Amino acid sequence: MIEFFKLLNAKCEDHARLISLSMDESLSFSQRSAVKLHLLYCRACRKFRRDAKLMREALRLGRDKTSDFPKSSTSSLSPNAAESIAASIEARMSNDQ
Amino acid sequence: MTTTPNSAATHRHGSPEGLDPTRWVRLHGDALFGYAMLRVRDREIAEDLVQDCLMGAYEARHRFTGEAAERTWLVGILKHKIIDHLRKRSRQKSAEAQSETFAEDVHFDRKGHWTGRFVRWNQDPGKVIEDQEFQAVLASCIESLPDKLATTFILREIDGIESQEVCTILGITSTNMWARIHRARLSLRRCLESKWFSK
Repeated sequence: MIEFFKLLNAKCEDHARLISLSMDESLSFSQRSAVKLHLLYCRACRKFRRDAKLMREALRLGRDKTSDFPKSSTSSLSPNAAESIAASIEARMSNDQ
Repeated sequence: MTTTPNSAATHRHGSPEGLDPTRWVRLHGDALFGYAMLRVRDREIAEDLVQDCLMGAYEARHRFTGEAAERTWLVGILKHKIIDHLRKRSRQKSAEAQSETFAEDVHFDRKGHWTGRFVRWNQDPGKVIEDQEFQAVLASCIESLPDKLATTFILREIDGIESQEVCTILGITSTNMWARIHRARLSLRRCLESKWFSK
């Protein structure tokens, strides 16, 4: 009960942390009730919860569709590394012959 | 880039139908490297991991069933190599401090209220995620996160590894893990908001 009354005075910063946590773990009864109450009147925290869920959904859809998700457009193997990796594979293959 | 003149010959030597190791670097090298880079954030280590992955894949080529695409199969092997690397690295380091401090908070003011303005995200997650341009923005936003936050967030939220397992791999407490994921989420949201959703 003491926890609940403390949480009634909690700031958005604390509620945001609990909202994040609640996406994976179950909150205590006091935490859950306090967050629920806070969300009733706090538009910014409602939006954070919505955005966080949307991010999660998008990331899950992305990884289910693309194996190397998310595709980075900036990194590519250096020509030297590419050449030496290709050479090691070929050396290994010719070893088998 | 090197090509081999005798790839037909190598096929006779037991590469299962559909796998062509001589073309792996050319076809998948950059994708595998980008995947590793995002997770280990060090060019040299990422290159080593790609090499380990492809050599390992060659040794395990008989286990390729053709059910998944070649790229998917290789990424699966790379994912294991990355996790092994992270696990070894966290074992080598002395135990992480129990509490971590993060860079100064830009998401809340001194009173703990949200800063910044609202940007509506009225986009369908299924559609937005198929947009290649969005994926590039997302990758660059993840790249801009501090290393620890990025690695933790990716393992949990993208690679879908159970939270207990993430703690073991990284050698951190669950409190630290949740704190990192929360910080990453706040920063990622802010980054996507400014680079994508406010356009």
